[in-house]
Amino acid sequence: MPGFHKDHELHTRRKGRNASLGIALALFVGLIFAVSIVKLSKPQSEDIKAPNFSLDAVSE
Amino acid sequence: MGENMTDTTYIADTPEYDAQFGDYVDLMKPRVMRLVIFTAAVGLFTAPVAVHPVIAFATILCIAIGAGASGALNMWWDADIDAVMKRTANRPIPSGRVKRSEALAIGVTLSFMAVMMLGLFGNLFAAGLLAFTIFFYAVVYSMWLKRSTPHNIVIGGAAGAFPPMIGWAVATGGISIESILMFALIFIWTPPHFWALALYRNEDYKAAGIPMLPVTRGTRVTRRHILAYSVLLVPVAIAPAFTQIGGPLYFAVAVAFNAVFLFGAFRLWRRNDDIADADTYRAEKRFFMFSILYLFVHFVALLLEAALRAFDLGFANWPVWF
Repeated sequence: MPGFHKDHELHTRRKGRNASLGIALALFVGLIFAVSIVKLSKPQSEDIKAPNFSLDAVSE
Repeated sequence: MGENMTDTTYIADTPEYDAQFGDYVDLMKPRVMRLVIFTAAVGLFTAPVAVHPVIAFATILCIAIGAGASGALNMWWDADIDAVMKRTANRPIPSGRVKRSEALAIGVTLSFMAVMMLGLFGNLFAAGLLAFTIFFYAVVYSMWLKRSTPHNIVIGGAAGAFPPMIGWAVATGGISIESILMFALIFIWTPPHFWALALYRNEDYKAAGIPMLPVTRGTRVTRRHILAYSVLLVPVAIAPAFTQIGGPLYFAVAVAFNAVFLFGAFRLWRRNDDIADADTYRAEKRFFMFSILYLFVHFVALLLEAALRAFDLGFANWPVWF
């Protein structure tokens, strides 16, 4: 609701800091996303598969 | 919260100055972070295991954030002595830009985040090394050694020496002679680097009551120690040339820069306070500045050797002894 009340000067004072923090968090989310894509596109390592795992069993 | 407290009370109670984002960045010692990023990257890129560029970027970022977090914890702990020394009086806490409690909160939070994310992005071994580095810098160096022994910088230097080892661990998952030598290079380099600074910042350290070597044992002993460590540094700096990450380029750089470093240390050893006072510690300041270039050039040479190997331009018959 525009004009409902005037922002306290605290809000303007902290605008830069909040915007920077928002950008930092957005970049962090982007980084997690990028790493997830890279990790998921790599073949799984042998050690985290069950001993009886085989691709043939999956395709059947 | 008191029952009469309202939103307006909260706003009225806030301080007149709020820390800006840049103040928090300053809290993390960006200049130290730059060195950490660079040496960790060299450790990662010289390793014999290829790392995906996205993983490399993410893990180096974690190492840098971890280093920054330990810097924030150091500033939280040392706020009282930082305020006394000219070199540090303008840091975020003594200058009133950031509250001590904020520095502690940022330091602890980012430490945990950096270690956890490095464990997820890289591997648990690298994350463990980062956790140990943060603990070593914040607790062993800042809280314990710095105010209690003139050899603070000798043992504390290990904290700054870990990043290339962590970078190497991200790629290989372990430690090897190459990463130990990169660690040793920074570890042995740190004391002469800081003692040269302490020689011309002696009054600062005296005022703050920090038992740096020139304060407790005098400048004569300090000059002798600088020379001794510079001599010790020569084999440590040349040895990587004869490992898998070295080569003729690194060898040539190491020989040339160690010769100049040794000559500088010898010159400091021959000087005394009267001579240093007369030319306002010119040789000491030059030695300190050169020491920064010395370390930088050694790591650049290792990076160039890695690049040459990547393009099959390495020297095939170069001896690998270690």
